[in-house]
Amino acid sequence: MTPHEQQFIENPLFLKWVYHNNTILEKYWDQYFDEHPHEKEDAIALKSRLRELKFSDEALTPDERSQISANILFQINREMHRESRLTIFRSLLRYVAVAIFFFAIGGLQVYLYMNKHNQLPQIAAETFKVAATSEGPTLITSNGKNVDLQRSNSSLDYTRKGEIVLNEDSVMASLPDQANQLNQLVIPYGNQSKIVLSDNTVVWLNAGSRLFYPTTFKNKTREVTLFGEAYFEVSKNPEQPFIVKTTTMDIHVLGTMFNVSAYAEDNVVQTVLKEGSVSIRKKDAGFFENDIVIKPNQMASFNKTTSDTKIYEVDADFYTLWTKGLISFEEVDLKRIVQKIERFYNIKVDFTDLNKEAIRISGKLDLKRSRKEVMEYLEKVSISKFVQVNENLYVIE
Amino acid sequence: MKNILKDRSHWLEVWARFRTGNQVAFSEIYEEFVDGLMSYGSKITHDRELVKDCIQDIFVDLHRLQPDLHNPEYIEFYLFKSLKHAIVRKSQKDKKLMSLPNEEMVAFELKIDIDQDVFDLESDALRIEKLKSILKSLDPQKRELLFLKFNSAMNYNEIGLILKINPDTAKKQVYRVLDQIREKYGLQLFELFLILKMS
Repeated sequence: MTPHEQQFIENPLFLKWVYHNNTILEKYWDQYFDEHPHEKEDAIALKSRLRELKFSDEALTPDERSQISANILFQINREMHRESRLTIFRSLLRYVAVAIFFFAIGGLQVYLYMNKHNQLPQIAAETFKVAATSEGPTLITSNGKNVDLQRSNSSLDYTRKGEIVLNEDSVMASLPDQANQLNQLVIPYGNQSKIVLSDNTVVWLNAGSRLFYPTTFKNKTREVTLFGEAYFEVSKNPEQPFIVKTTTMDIHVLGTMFNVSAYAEDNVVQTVLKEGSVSIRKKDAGFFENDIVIKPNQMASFNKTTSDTKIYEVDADFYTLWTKGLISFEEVDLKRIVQKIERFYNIKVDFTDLNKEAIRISGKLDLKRSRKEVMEYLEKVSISKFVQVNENLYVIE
Repeated sequence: MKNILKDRSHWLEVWARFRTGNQVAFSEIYEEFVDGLMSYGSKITHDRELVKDCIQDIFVDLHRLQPDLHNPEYIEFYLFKSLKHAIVRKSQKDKKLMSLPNEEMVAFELKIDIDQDVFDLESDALRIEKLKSILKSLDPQKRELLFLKFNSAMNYNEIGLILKINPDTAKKQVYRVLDQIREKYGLQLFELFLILKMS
């Protein structure tokens, strides 16, 4: 045995390279041989000799892997549960719920556990869609009162104690939330709304969206639940993290500005960060899957069909222009733009030629202009023909 | 580079994070080591379900004991040791047919699996037989020694702790086994390594 060979045998990284190789190890050894060219020949020869026989391992199937992790989580959950029963501090239970939640949600057991203990609003989450026919923006308070917000572009302000300021001019009394009940702001198609929450966080809700939130944030975390699209400017409070829940993922933030588009009818859920940092936890994440963390001017795009999340570099301003009545897009499918237009004007646009759906277009739409002008503009940039069938229906040919 | 390589210092850092209650670190440990544990455990017993149960148990224990744990020199070593212990204990408790009397008596079977694409079967059949008999003739502890040294790339301290022998003895034994095989079968270094490769 040559000294070099012995040296390699005593090097764990060499043995890993031979038996459990990966690209990083491959790079490491490339670099090593660049620096020690005279050792290369021995090492390569040794490695290829070792590799001649295939390693026989009992491998876990992906199913077994996830079953084991599910069982581990279930047991940990159960043990913590048992512990918490032993103590008189009920608040520990909530702590446990948060800990497990953070840990990774996956299996049914934990999901049920969460639903029981985390006071999620009773909502048909999966298929939820704001009815296109409902009238103007509506506030359903935690006390069960329905309030018509009167304007298609309305605003609500919860920062004053004991009262809610509506559309900057009228004031209503705000009562404490009833147990386990949240306020619900419903913004049908053709409307938008801005709401300032009790912690000074500002949320712009886009057409066809719904937001659940408490009158004041009393828990360890500030939690809201979103269906549809919203732009958040979260006020900083590291002591009380802010969490945006959607049907497919939860977004954890400290103080930051970001846009979330999570419409039930869209196949993608997009989170675009303008400032600060957020981490995203998929609801169906593998038990031990890491959170997705994005930086400013990045977009995390989650595909509901494949359950894949892709990160893109973007200009975040593009994705927040809608709060000012503008839509800007670059290389975006015509279908996606059309969906936004449909929601904004509360109209229906059908494609007769499905190939047109995938046409990629770039440009800027000013939604404050007339619907006719906007449609003509879209016609031009997509080189298609938009035919108006009736007041609320268009067909793209 | 160092940390991306996931060497010892990387895992010590992960372990430190895990001990502060960081759940991401816990998942990272699980994801990294679960396959190696399955591989190790299945050489101690053929009972696949038993191995899976024990893997599950040691991670639950790991999580429960987290505040009381010390820094192990190497996480993989700690997990292997726990797994072996768990398998032996559980097989006794469940009064399995193939119950393992104690940790020293583990048979540690290493199977040869030949890559059909690489080997010219006819010319190598004899040699494979010879290699199989070499492995069979080794006592189980030596087989485990080879597995821990080459497949798991553990250091002699860790091997010593798992096999309950002194680290120097572990090192001496590795080289003695190499010499033994060479003398006994008159093999070239080439074949020597083939043997070590087998598990």
